[in-house]
Amino acid sequence: MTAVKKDISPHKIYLELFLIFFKIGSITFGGGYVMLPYIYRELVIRRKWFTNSEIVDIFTVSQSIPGAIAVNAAFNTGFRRSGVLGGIVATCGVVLPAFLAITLILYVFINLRDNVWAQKFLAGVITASAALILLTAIDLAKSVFSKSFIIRVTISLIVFVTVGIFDLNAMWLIFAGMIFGVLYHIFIKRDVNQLEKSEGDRSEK
Amino acid sequence: MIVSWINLYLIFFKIGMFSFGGGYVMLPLIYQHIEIYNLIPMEEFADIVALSQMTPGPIAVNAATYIGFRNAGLIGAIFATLGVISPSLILVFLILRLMKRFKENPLTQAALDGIKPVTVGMIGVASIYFLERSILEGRFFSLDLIRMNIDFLNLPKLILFFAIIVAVVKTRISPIILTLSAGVIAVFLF
Repeated sequence: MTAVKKDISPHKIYLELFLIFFKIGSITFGGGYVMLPYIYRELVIRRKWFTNSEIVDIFTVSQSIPGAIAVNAAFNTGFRRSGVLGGIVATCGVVLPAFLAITLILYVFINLRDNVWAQKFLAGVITASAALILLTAIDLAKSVFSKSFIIRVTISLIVFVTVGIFDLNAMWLIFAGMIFGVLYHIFIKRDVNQLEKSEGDRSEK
Repeated sequence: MIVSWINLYLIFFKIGMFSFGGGYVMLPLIYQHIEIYNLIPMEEFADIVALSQMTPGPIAVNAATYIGFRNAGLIGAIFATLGVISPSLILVFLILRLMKRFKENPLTQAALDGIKPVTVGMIGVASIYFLERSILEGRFFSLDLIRMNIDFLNLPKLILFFAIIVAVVKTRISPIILTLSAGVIAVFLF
């Protein structure tokens, strides 16, 4: 369990947490999901700070709450390892590379904005981004539409049209989605469950 | 200045609070907030994503840093970044302290299930936005697409686009290498 290495001096743990997550934050491009395997390798396999089930728990919670998955996972692991300060140190570690990289690029990029070569380069990168985003969209759609197909496709289309064409505030749709999910669970799923249960009762008689 | 720093913090707090399902999904949300609060010129939005692809770290953090910096300098960048990560810290803290059974709570699961199809719609919107700024010459939701007007497509970009798709699907080259190569190829071809 996590108590094994508590005898190490706290400063050292904070430094270690910071460095681990700084490293994870520096080498992973493209966001959260990419980082999870690295976190797993560093914390479970190499350092044995967490058991398999603990890290699965951390990853599940990180993906269930809003915010960047990498940040959620960093704070969660740091916190479990050595309290709030540990969480904050780990978060700083994972965020700092992104922050520094963008800041540095901006100092350079502002002067390059109108350069023809830089614009062509960016146009190529934007084209690649379009491809990557579309592929991610297809993957996400495949996994989400594998259950309750008709309802989910309908909701997705409504969101697509209202946000894409009518520019409705996406925040409201996320909120509406949450409420729909809860209402669906309370009224429809429960009815189905009860129906199945009562039919089960009947067949037992 | 202090007002705009605090504003940035609050705007990005809101974005962080409502971003479910990973980086690309929240792009429409960030886009709309730039629009509503007039944070930076809209034409820079595609650049933000392009730069995020080339820099390490979560897209949300990259975007917050970029927008904060362009809107109110280095301190603005710090406030925006703190804003976008604050909801994560607060929520994880609350879950670890108060709701040990968060995962098993059926209502949280139900709410998350409800959000899932919304995220698909949103990443769809993000896809269209980037298609319009790369391979399409104009709006996606227009008659040109139905008429199959060939001028509507930008051919060099289209070729690059499909080359990237094939490379992602068929090879194991990492997306960052592909992205940078696309930039270099574009310098020579476009």
